[in-house]
Amino acid sequence: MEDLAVTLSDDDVRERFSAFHDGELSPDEAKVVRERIEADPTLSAEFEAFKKVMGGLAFLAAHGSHGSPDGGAQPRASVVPEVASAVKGADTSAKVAAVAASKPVEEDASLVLPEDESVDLLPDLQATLHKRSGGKFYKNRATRVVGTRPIEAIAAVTLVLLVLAYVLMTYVSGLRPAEAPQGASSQSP
Amino acid sequence: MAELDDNDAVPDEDWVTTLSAEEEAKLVERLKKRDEAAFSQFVLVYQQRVYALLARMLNNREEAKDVAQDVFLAVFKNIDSFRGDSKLSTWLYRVAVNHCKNRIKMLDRRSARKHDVIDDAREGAVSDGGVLGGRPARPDEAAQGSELEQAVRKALASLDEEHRELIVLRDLEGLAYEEIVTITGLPDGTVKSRLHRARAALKEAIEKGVGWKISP
Repeated sequence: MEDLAVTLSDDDVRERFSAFHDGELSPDEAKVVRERIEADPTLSAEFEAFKKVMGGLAFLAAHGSHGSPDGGAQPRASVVPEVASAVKGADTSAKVAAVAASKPVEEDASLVLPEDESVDLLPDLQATLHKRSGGKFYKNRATRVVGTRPIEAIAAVTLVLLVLAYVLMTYVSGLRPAEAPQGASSQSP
Repeated sequence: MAELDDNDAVPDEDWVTTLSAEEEAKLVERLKKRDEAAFSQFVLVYQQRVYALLARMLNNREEAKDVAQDVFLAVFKNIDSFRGDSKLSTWLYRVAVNHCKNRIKMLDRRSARKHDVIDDAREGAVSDGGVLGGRPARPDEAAQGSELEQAVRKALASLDEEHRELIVLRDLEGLAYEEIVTITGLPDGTVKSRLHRARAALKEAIEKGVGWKISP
Protein backbone atom coordinates (compact mmCIF):
# COMPACT_ATOMS: atom_id res chain seq x y z
CA MET A 1 0.00 0.00 0.00
CA GLU A 2 2.73 2.38 1.03
CA ASP A 3 4.81 1.23 -1.91
CA LEU A 4 2.01 1.77 -4.37
CA ALA A 5 1.41 5.30 -3.17
CA VAL A 6 5.06 6.11 -3.63
CA THR A 7 5.73 4.32 -6.88
CA LEU A 8 2.68 5.42 -8.85
CA SER A 9 3.65 8.18 -11.24
CA ASP A 10 1.14 10.75 -12.44
CA ASP A 11 0.84 8.84 -15.68
CA ASP A 12 0.18 5.66 -13.74
CA VAL A 13 -2.66 7.43 -12.00
CA ARG A 14 -4.02 8.68 -15.33
CA GLU A 15 -3.85 5.13 -16.67
CA ARG A 16 -6.10 4.11 -13.81
CA PHE A 17 -8.79 6.73 -14.38
CA SER A 18 -11.00 4.33 -16.31
CA ALA A 19 -10.69 1.46 -13.89
CA PHE A 20 -11.14 3.84 -10.96
CA HIS A 21 -14.24 5.34 -12.54
CA ASP A 22 -15.67 1.88 -13.15
CA GLY A 23 -14.85 0.64 -9.67
CA GLU A 24 -12.53 -1.96 -11.08
CA LEU A 25 -9.53 -1.22 -8.88
CA SER A 26 -8.81 -3.13 -5.72
CA PRO A 27 -9.80 -1.24 -2.56
CA ASP A 28 -6.18 -0.48 -1.74
CA GLU A 29 -5.37 0.73 -5.22
CA ALA A 30 -8.55 2.76 -5.41
CA LYS A 31 -7.68 4.45 -2.12
CA VAL A 32 -4.25 5.41 -3.40
CA VAL A 33 -5.62 6.74 -6.67
CA ARG A 34 -8.33 8.70 -4.89
CA GLU A 35 -5.81 10.28 -2.54
CA ARG A 36 -3.51 11.19 -5.39
CA ILE A 37 -6.34 12.76 -7.35
CA GLU A 38 -7.50 14.74 -4.34
CA ALA A 39 -3.99 15.90 -3.52
CA ASP A 40 -2.91 16.95 -6.98
CA PRO A 41 -4.87 19.82 -8.62
CA THR A 42 -3.68 18.83 -12.10
CA LEU A 43 -4.75 15.22 -11.72
CA SER A 44 -7.95 16.37 -10.13
CA ALA A 45 -8.76 18.62 -13.07
CA GLU A 46 -7.92 15.88 -15.54
CA PHE A 47 -10.09 13.39 -13.73
CA GLU A 48 -12.97 15.84 -13.68
CA ALA A 49 -12.59 16.30 -17.42
CA PHE A 50 -12.51 12.55 -17.84
CA LYS A 51 -15.76 12.30 -15.90
CA LYS A 52 -17.33 14.83 -18.24
CA VAL A 53 -16.56 12.59 -21.19
CA MET A 54 -18.13 9.71 -19.34
CA GLY A 55 -21.12 11.94 -18.72
CA GLY A 56 -21.38 12.57 -22.45
CA LEU A 57 -21.42 8.84 -23.08
CA ALA A 58 -24.00 8.40 -20.37
CA PHE A 59 -26.09 11.02 -22.12
CA LEU A 60 -25.88 9.02 -25.32
CA ALA A 61 -26.58 5.75 -23.53
CA ALA A 62 -29.55 7.29 -21.77
CA HIS A 63 -31.06 8.25 -25.10
CA GLY A 64 -30.67 4.68 -26.33
CA SER A 65 -33.51 2.95 -24.61
CA HIS A 66 -32.35 -0.59 -25.19
CA GLY A 67 -29.72 -1.26 -22.62
CA SER A 68 -27.77 -4.46 -22.75
CA PRO A 69 -29.44 -7.72 -23.69
CA ASP A 70 -29.87 -8.33 -20.00
CA GLY A 71 -30.83 -4.84 -19.06
CA GLY A 72 -27.35 -3.90 -17.97
CA ALA A 73 -27.13 -0.37 -19.30
CA GLN A 74 -28.07 2.18 -16.74
CA PRO A 75 -29.00 5.60 -17.99
CA ARG A 76 -26.95 8.09 -16.10
CA ALA A 77 -28.72 11.29 -17.02
CA SER A 78 -27.90 12.83 -13.68
CA VAL A 79 -24.39 13.59 -14.83
CA VAL A 80 -25.51 15.40 -17.94
CA PRO A 81 -25.59 18.89 -16.46
CA GLU A 82 -21.97 18.35 -15.44
CA VAL A 83 -21.10 17.74 -19.04
CA ALA A 84 -22.86 20.84 -20.17
CA SER A 85 -21.18 23.01 -17.59
CA ALA A 86 -17.82 21.61 -18.61
CA VAL A 87 -18.13 22.76 -22.17
CA LYS A 88 -16.55 26.14 -22.17
CA GLY A 89 -15.88 28.70 -24.78
CA ALA A 90 -17.89 29.43 -27.91
CA ASP A 91 -21.41 30.76 -27.74
CA THR A 92 -22.80 27.30 -28.25
CA SER A 93 -22.17 26.30 -24.68
CA ALA A 94 -25.34 27.92 -23.47
CA LYS A 95 -27.38 25.96 -25.97
CA VAL A 96 -25.70 22.75 -24.94
CA ALA A 97 -26.31 23.49 -21.31
CA ALA A 98 -29.94 24.22 -22.01
CA VAL A 99 -30.41 21.00 -23.88
CA ALA A 100 -28.51 18.91 -21.39
CA ALA A 101 -29.93 20.40 -18.24
CA SER A 102 -33.50 21.14 -19.07
CA LYS A 103 -34.83 18.50 -21.42
CA PRO A 104 -35.85 15.21 -19.91
CA VAL A 105 -34.49 12.50 -22.14
CA GLU A 106 -37.65 10.45 -22.17
CA GLU A 107 -39.86 13.29 -23.31
CA ASP A 108 -37.95 14.63 -26.24
CA ALA A 109 -38.91 12.71 -29.33
CA SER A 110 -36.55 14.75 -31.48
CA LEU A 111 -33.62 13.17 -29.68
CA VAL A 112 -34.34 9.66 -30.89
CA LEU A 113 -31.19 8.22 -32.35
CA PRO A 114 -31.09 6.36 -35.63
CA GLU A 115 -30.30 3.14 -33.80
CA ASP A 116 -33.37 3.62 -31.65
CA GLU A 117 -35.64 3.31 -34.63
CA SER A 118 -37.88 0.34 -34.55
CA VAL A 119 -36.58 -2.45 -36.69
CA ASP A 120 -38.40 -5.58 -37.79
CA LEU A 121 -36.07 -8.21 -39.11
CA LEU A 122 -38.35 -11.18 -38.66
CA PRO A 123 -40.27 -11.27 -41.97
CA ASP A 124 -37.11 -11.12 -44.04
CA LEU A 125 -35.35 -13.61 -41.80
CA GLN A 126 -38.19 -16.07 -42.06
CA ALA A 127 -38.39 -15.68 -45.81
CA THR A 128 -34.63 -16.16 -46.12
CA LEU A 129 -34.64 -19.25 -43.92
CA HIS A 130 -37.55 -20.64 -45.90
CA LYS A 131 -35.67 -20.10 -49.13
CA ARG A 132 -32.27 -21.32 -47.98
CA SER A 133 -33.68 -24.44 -46.36
CA GLY A 134 -35.44 -25.40 -49.56
CA GLY A 135 -38.81 -24.85 -47.95
CA LYS A 136 -38.09 -26.89 -44.83
CA PHE A 137 -38.50 -24.03 -42.38
CA TYR A 138 -41.39 -21.61 -42.18
CA LYS A 139 -43.35 -23.60 -44.75
CA ASN A 140 -46.61 -21.82 -44.15
CA ARG A 141 -46.45 -18.23 -45.23
CA ALA A 142 -49.28 -17.28 -42.89
CA THR A 143 -47.40 -18.53 -39.86
CA ARG A 144 -44.13 -16.86 -40.70
CA VAL A 145 -44.63 -13.50 -39.18
CA VAL A 146 -46.91 -14.60 -36.39
CA GLY A 147 -44.59 -17.46 -35.75
CA THR A 148 -46.38 -19.01 -32.83
CA ARG A 149 -50.05 -19.22 -33.67
CA PRO A 150 -51.67 -22.11 -35.57
CA ILE A 151 -53.37 -19.98 -38.18
CA GLU A 152 -54.53 -23.00 -40.21
CA ALA A 153 -56.09 -24.66 -37.18
CA ILE A 154 -57.90 -21.48 -36.27
CA ALA A 155 -59.22 -21.18 -39.83
CA ALA A 156 -60.45 -24.80 -39.82
CA VAL A 157 -62.22 -24.41 -36.50
CA THR A 158 -63.85 -21.20 -37.69
CA LEU A 159 -65.11 -22.94 -40.84
CA VAL A 160 -66.59 -25.82 -38.86
CA LEU A 161 -68.30 -23.38 -36.52
CA LEU A 162 -69.81 -21.50 -39.45
CA VAL A 163 -71.19 -24.73 -40.94
CA LEU A 164 -72.62 -25.75 -37.59
CA ALA A 165 -74.22 -22.36 -37.18
CA TYR A 166 -75.80 -22.60 -40.64
CA VAL A 167 -77.21 -26.06 -39.95
CA LEU A 168 -78.54 -24.96 -36.59
CA MET A 169 -80.24 -21.93 -38.12
CA THR A 170 -82.00 -24.00 -40.75
CA TYR A 171 -83.40 -26.40 -38.13
CA VAL A 172 -84.51 -23.59 -35.87
CA SER A 173 -86.40 -21.94 -38.70
CA GLY A 174 -88.06 -25.28 -39.55
CA LEU A 175 -86.66 -25.32 -43.07
CA ARG A 176 -84.30 -27.88 -44.42
CA PRO A 177 -81.72 -26.42 -46.78
CA ALA A 178 -83.12 -28.30 -49.84
CA GLU A 179 -86.63 -26.95 -49.33
CA ALA A 180 -85.79 -23.31 -49.22
CA PRO A 181 -85.42 -22.73 -52.99
CA GLN A 182 -88.63 -24.69 -53.78
CA GLY A 183 -90.65 -22.75 -51.25
CA ALA A 184 -89.31 -19.54 -52.70
CA SER A 185 -90.21 -20.54 -56.31
CA SER A 186 -93.78 -21.70 -55.42
CA GLN A 187 -94.62 -18.25 -54.16
CA SER A 188 -93.75 -16.62 -57.45
CA PRO A 189 -96.58 -16.18 -60.04
CA MET B 1 -41.96 -13.94 -14.89
CA ALA B 2 -44.00 -15.71 -17.52
CA GLU B 3 -43.07 -19.16 -18.57
CA LEU B 4 -41.80 -19.43 -22.10
CA ASP B 5 -44.73 -20.45 -24.17
CA ASP B 6 -45.34 -21.13 -27.82
CA ASN B 7 -48.19 -18.70 -27.71
CA ASP B 8 -46.06 -15.80 -26.56
CA ALA B 9 -45.49 -14.18 -29.91
CA VAL B 10 -44.03 -10.99 -28.53
CA PRO B 11 -42.58 -11.38 -25.06
CA ASP B 12 -42.58 -8.26 -22.96
CA GLU B 13 -39.48 -6.44 -21.75
CA ASP B 14 -39.48 -8.29 -18.46
CA TRP B 15 -39.03 -11.47 -20.34
CA VAL B 16 -35.66 -10.20 -21.43
CA THR B 17 -34.48 -8.45 -18.36
CA THR B 18 -35.35 -11.23 -15.99
CA LEU B 19 -34.65 -14.28 -18.08
CA SER B 20 -33.41 -16.88 -15.68
CA ALA B 21 -30.71 -19.38 -16.48
CA GLU B 22 -33.29 -22.12 -16.57
CA GLU B 23 -35.51 -20.24 -19.00
CA GLU B 24 -32.59 -19.36 -21.18
CA ALA B 25 -31.58 -23.01 -21.23
CA LYS B 26 -35.09 -23.92 -22.36
CA LEU B 27 -34.94 -21.39 -25.15
CA VAL B 28 -31.55 -22.67 -26.27
CA GLU B 29 -32.84 -26.21 -26.21
CA ARG B 30 -35.71 -25.24 -28.46
CA LEU B 31 -33.43 -23.28 -30.75
CA LYS B 32 -31.17 -26.31 -31.08
CA LYS B 33 -34.19 -28.30 -32.19
CA ARG B 34 -34.68 -25.64 -34.84
CA ASP B 35 -38.00 -24.71 -33.34
CA GLU B 36 -39.38 -22.03 -35.60
CA ALA B 37 -41.50 -20.44 -32.91
CA ALA B 38 -38.52 -20.25 -30.56
CA PHE B 39 -36.43 -18.63 -33.25
CA SER B 40 -39.15 -16.10 -33.96
CA GLN B 41 -39.31 -15.26 -30.28
CA PHE B 42 -35.56 -15.03 -30.08
CA VAL B 43 -35.45 -12.57 -32.97
CA LEU B 44 -38.28 -10.47 -31.62
CA VAL B 45 -36.60 -10.21 -28.26
CA TYR B 46 -33.08 -9.43 -29.37
CA GLN B 47 -33.38 -7.75 -32.77
CA GLN B 48 -33.60 -4.21 -31.43
CA ARG B 49 -30.57 -4.62 -29.22
CA VAL B 50 -28.46 -6.25 -31.88
CA TYR B 51 -29.45 -3.58 -34.36
CA ALA B 52 -28.63 -0.81 -31.90
CA LEU B 53 -25.22 -2.31 -31.19
CA LEU B 54 -24.44 -2.65 -34.88
CA ALA B 55 -25.76 0.79 -35.74
CA ARG B 56 -23.48 2.30 -33.14
CA MET B 57 -20.48 0.37 -34.32
CA LEU B 58 -21.09 0.81 -38.03
CA ASN B 59 -22.69 4.23 -37.89
CA ASN B 60 -24.88 3.24 -40.77
CA ARG B 61 -28.49 2.09 -40.53
CA GLU B 62 -28.73 0.03 -43.68
CA GLU B 63 -25.48 -1.78 -43.04
CA ALA B 64 -26.57 -2.40 -39.47
CA LYS B 65 -29.82 -3.98 -40.62
CA ASP B 66 -28.03 -6.09 -43.15
CA VAL B 67 -25.46 -7.34 -40.65
CA ALA B 68 -28.17 -7.97 -38.06
CA GLN B 69 -29.91 -10.25 -40.54
CA ASP B 70 -26.66 -12.14 -41.05
CA VAL B 71 -26.16 -12.41 -37.31
CA PHE B 72 -29.53 -14.04 -36.70
CA LEU B 73 -29.12 -16.36 -39.65
CA ALA B 74 -25.73 -17.36 -38.26
CA VAL B 75 -27.29 -18.02 -34.87
CA PHE B 76 -29.98 -20.19 -36.41
CA LYS B 77 -27.34 -22.14 -38.29
CA ASN B 78 -24.73 -22.40 -35.56
CA ILE B 79 -26.72 -22.57 -32.35
CA ASP B 80 -25.35 -26.08 -31.82
CA SER B 81 -21.94 -24.57 -31.22
CA PHE B 82 -23.30 -22.64 -28.23
CA ARG B 83 -22.09 -24.66 -25.27
CA GLY B 84 -23.59 -22.54 -22.56
CA ASP B 85 -20.25 -21.36 -21.18
CA SER B 86 -21.60 -17.84 -21.28
CA LYS B 87 -25.05 -16.31 -21.38
CA LEU B 88 -26.95 -16.60 -24.63
CA SER B 89 -27.03 -12.84 -24.95
CA THR B 90 -23.25 -12.62 -24.51
CA TRP B 91 -22.75 -15.23 -27.17
CA LEU B 92 -25.15 -13.39 -29.46
CA TYR B 93 -23.17 -10.18 -28.93
CA ARG B 94 -19.97 -11.99 -29.75
CA VAL B 95 -21.45 -13.24 -33.01
CA ALA B 96 -22.67 -9.72 -33.74
CA VAL B 97 -19.30 -8.11 -33.01
CA ASN B 98 -17.48 -10.63 -35.18
CA HIS B 99 -19.87 -10.08 -38.06
CA CYS B 100 -19.50 -6.36 -37.59
CA LYS B 101 -15.72 -6.55 -37.78
CA ASN B 102 -15.92 -8.61 -40.92
CA ARG B 103 -18.29 -6.11 -42.47
CA ILE B 104 -16.01 -3.21 -41.59
CA LYS B 105 -13.09 -4.95 -43.25
CA MET B 106 -15.15 -5.66 -46.32
CA LEU B 107 -16.35 -2.08 -46.52
CA ASP B 108 -12.83 -0.78 -46.06
CA ARG B 109 -11.60 -2.95 -48.91
CA ARG B 110 -14.50 -1.87 -51.08
CA SER B 111 -13.87 1.75 -50.21
CA ALA B 112 -10.19 1.40 -51.08
CA ARG B 113 -11.00 -0.14 -54.45
CA LYS B 114 -13.52 2.55 -55.16
CA HIS B 115 -10.96 5.21 -54.39
CA ASP B 116 -8.48 3.61 -56.73
CA VAL B 117 -10.99 3.66 -59.54
CA ILE B 118 -11.96 7.22 -58.84
CA ASP B 119 -8.36 8.35 -58.60
CA ASP B 120 -7.54 6.64 -61.88
CA ALA B 121 -10.41 8.32 -63.59
CA ARG B 122 -9.40 11.68 -62.11
CA GLU B 123 -12.89 12.29 -60.96
CA GLY B 124 -11.87 14.31 -58.00
CA ALA B 125 -11.27 13.68 -54.40
CA VAL B 126 -13.58 11.64 -52.26
CA SER B 127 -13.87 11.19 -48.58
CA ASP B 128 -11.93 8.27 -47.17
CA GLY B 129 -14.17 7.77 -44.20
CA GLY B 130 -15.96 4.77 -45.61
CA VAL B 131 -19.05 3.74 -43.80
CA LEU B 132 -17.71 4.85 -40.48
CA GLY B 133 -17.58 8.53 -40.61
CA GLY B 134 -17.04 9.99 -44.03
CA ARG B 135 -20.70 10.00 -44.94
CA PRO B 136 -22.12 13.47 -44.81
CA ALA B 137 -24.99 13.82 -42.44
CA ARG B 138 -28.44 13.88 -43.97
CA PRO B 139 -30.60 16.87 -43.11
CA ASP B 140 -32.81 14.78 -40.85
CA GLU B 141 -29.78 13.38 -39.09
CA ALA B 142 -28.33 16.82 -38.63
CA ALA B 143 -31.54 17.95 -37.06
CA GLN B 144 -31.69 15.04 -34.69
CA GLY B 145 -30.43 15.22 -31.20
CA SER B 146 -28.65 17.85 -29.29
CA GLU B 147 -25.36 19.43 -30.11
CA LEU B 148 -23.73 17.56 -27.29
CA GLU B 149 -25.15 14.28 -28.41
CA GLN B 150 -24.02 14.90 -31.95
CA ALA B 151 -20.55 15.81 -30.75
CA VAL B 152 -20.20 12.58 -28.83
CA ARG B 153 -21.64 10.54 -31.67
CA LYS B 154 -19.37 12.15 -34.19
CA ALA B 155 -16.33 11.65 -32.01
CA LEU B 156 -17.31 8.05 -31.44
CA ALA B 157 -17.62 7.45 -35.16
CA SER B 158 -14.16 8.86 -35.70
CA LEU B 159 -12.48 6.40 -33.34
CA ASP B 160 -10.56 3.34 -34.41
CA GLU B 161 -12.65 0.22 -34.68
CA GLU B 162 -11.06 -1.40 -31.64
CA HIS B 163 -11.64 1.67 -29.50
CA ARG B 164 -15.18 2.21 -30.65
CA GLU B 165 -16.01 -1.43 -30.06
CA LEU B 166 -15.06 -1.25 -26.40
CA ILE B 167 -16.80 2.03 -25.74
CA VAL B 168 -19.98 0.78 -27.36
CA LEU B 169 -19.93 -2.46 -25.40
CA ARG B 170 -18.99 -0.94 -22.06
CA ASP B 171 -20.36 2.58 -21.97
CA LEU B 172 -23.32 2.43 -24.31
CA GLU B 173 -24.46 -1.15 -23.94
CA GLY B 174 -23.49 -1.31 -20.29
CA LEU B 175 -21.88 -4.73 -20.43
CA ALA B 176 -19.72 -6.04 -17.61
CA TYR B 177 -16.00 -6.49 -18.10
CA GLU B 178 -16.34 -10.28 -18.01
CA GLU B 179 -18.90 -10.15 -20.78
CA ILE B 180 -16.67 -7.91 -22.88
CA VAL B 181 -13.80 -10.33 -22.35
CA THR B 182 -16.02 -13.14 -23.59
CA ILE B 183 -17.35 -11.18 -26.53
CA THR B 184 -14.06 -9.77 -27.77
CA GLY B 185 -11.81 -12.67 -26.79
CA LEU B 186 -9.35 -10.16 -25.36
CA PRO B 187 -7.59 -10.71 -22.04
CA ASP B 188 -9.05 -8.85 -19.10
CA GLY B 189 -6.04 -6.55 -18.75
CA THR B 190 -6.15 -5.67 -22.43
CA VAL B 191 -9.81 -4.78 -22.22
CA LYS B 192 -9.15 -2.42 -19.33
CA SER B 193 -6.12 -0.72 -20.82
CA ARG B 194 -7.67 -0.47 -24.27
CA LEU B 195 -10.87 0.93 -22.82
CA HIS B 196 -8.86 3.57 -21.03
CA ARG B 197 -7.11 4.54 -24.26
CA ALA B 198 -10.42 4.52 -26.07
CA ARG B 199 -11.96 6.93 -23.59
CA ALA B 200 -8.93 9.18 -23.77
CA ALA B 201 -9.15 9.11 -27.56
CA LEU B 202 -12.83 9.95 -27.36
CA LYS B 203 -12.16 12.95 -25.17
CA GLU B 204 -9.54 14.14 -27.61
CA ALA B 205 -11.86 13.58 -30.56
CA ILE B 206 -14.67 15.54 -28.92
CA GLU B 207 -12.38 18.46 -28.23
CA LYS B 208 -10.90 18.31 -31.70
CA GLY B 209 -14.23 17.89 -33.42
CA VAL B 210 -16.17 20.66 -31.79
CA GLY B 211 -13.34 22.95 -30.85
CA TRP B 212 -14.24 22.93 -27.19
CA LYS B 213 -11.90 22.26 -24.37
CA ILE B 214 -13.42 19.86 -21.92
CA SER B 215 -12.49 21.13 -18.54
CA PRO B 216 -13.83 20.65 -15.06
